[in-house]
Amino acid sequence: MKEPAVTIVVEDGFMQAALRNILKYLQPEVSLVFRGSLEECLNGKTCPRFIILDSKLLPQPHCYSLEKLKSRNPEGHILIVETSLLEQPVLVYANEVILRNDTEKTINQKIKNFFDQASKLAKPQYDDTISEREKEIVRLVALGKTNKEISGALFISPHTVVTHRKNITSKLGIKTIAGLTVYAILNGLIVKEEI
Amino acid sequence: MIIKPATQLADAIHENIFLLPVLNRFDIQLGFGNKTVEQLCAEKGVNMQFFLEIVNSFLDKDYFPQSELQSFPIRLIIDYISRSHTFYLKYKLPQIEGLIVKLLENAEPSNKKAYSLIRGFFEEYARELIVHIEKEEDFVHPYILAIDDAYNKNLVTPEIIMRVKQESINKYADGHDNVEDKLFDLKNLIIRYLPPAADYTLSNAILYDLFRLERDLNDHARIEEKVLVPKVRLLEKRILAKKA
Ligand SMILES: [Fe+2]
Ligand SMILES: [Fe+2]
Repeated sequence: MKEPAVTIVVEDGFMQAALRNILKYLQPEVSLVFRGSLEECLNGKTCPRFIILDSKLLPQPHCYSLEKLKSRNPEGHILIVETSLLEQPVLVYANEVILRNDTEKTINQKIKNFFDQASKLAKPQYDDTISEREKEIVRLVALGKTNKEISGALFISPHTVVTHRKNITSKLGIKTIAGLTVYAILNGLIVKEEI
Repeated sequence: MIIKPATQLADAIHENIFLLPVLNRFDIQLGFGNKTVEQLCAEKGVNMQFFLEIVNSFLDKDYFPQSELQSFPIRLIIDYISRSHTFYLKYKLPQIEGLIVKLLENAEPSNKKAYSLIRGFFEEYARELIVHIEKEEDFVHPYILAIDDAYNKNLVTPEIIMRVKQESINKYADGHDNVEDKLFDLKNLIIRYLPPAADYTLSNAILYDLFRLERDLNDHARIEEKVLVPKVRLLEKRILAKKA
């Protein structure tokens, strides 16, 4: 089954219906799932990508709750619907906030922005960034360590080291140890004095 | 385009400008008017069949009528390879190095460190290429010429047979590469990771030169591996058969 694209955490039935209508109109393709609380929404195995959140269901302090939500779901996009007084700094965490006295037009615009912005961010990009583990390996390679030494230092099998190195080469377009060393210095993974 | 005896050399250059250094290795310089391959080869005393095979295999790497190339004297091939070596060492490497030095001199202070890394990397690459070429010039070619000479003059001494057994061309062929991994990295470091130069024409020029050098070196290695090595293998076989 396809994962629901938007998780809506809203208590009030009237507001649920309103959001459903607006979303159907603006994003006809989107699938929705409704949750009664933030906890319930985070208990699922996969983290929701889009979360529309009723501020009333956001435990106080708001910032703390949002920070927890973000740390568990860093890829998630959060839209807050203000039904109760919001602490100001929530904007740091939320991608968009619908305020109590926003007009219908503003609300539509904000929801539209929310999805536009998110889809822009979600656009598949050529991925040449290497993972933290791969960075560690580039660092060790640049410092002149052999695959065997790397395997020992990181507690992974030599086979895994070889796999990582293949991935690194294909992601970075660099094959030689000397080349990886230059890359590592250029990107601050090691400093010249370490060599 | 396949170059034939009646092809005007000017047309071949229009087809692929990268042919230019190849022509220079045959002592053919620009300003040849409407002369055909046949005329120019006769004028310069160049073996035309050999010339045609070299330029055609350069233009199309799948064009390799080995049987025909095999019929040329080994000396001609070695001479051509040696001239290419001179071209890399005397002109190509210093020219690219000069551009990199210029890049470094004109760099904004914040880029100096990055560019000097590239310079260091290029120097390392150049050193490796020089070692590679020196090994061919100082050991491989003299060996080939010695056994070729002995065979042609019917002077296959026990000493020559010993050399064939010890220095067999297979040893060279097995370990032969073209330092191409470093060149690959150098291109990518400049394309992907180096902060852009204030004078972008400089970094462009460096990249053009690196791509040209790569193209030339690949062709060069193909001639060493696909023409020279099989020919020497055959020669070694004949020498060992003579002994028996
Ligand atoms: Fe060579
Ligand atoms: Fe070579």
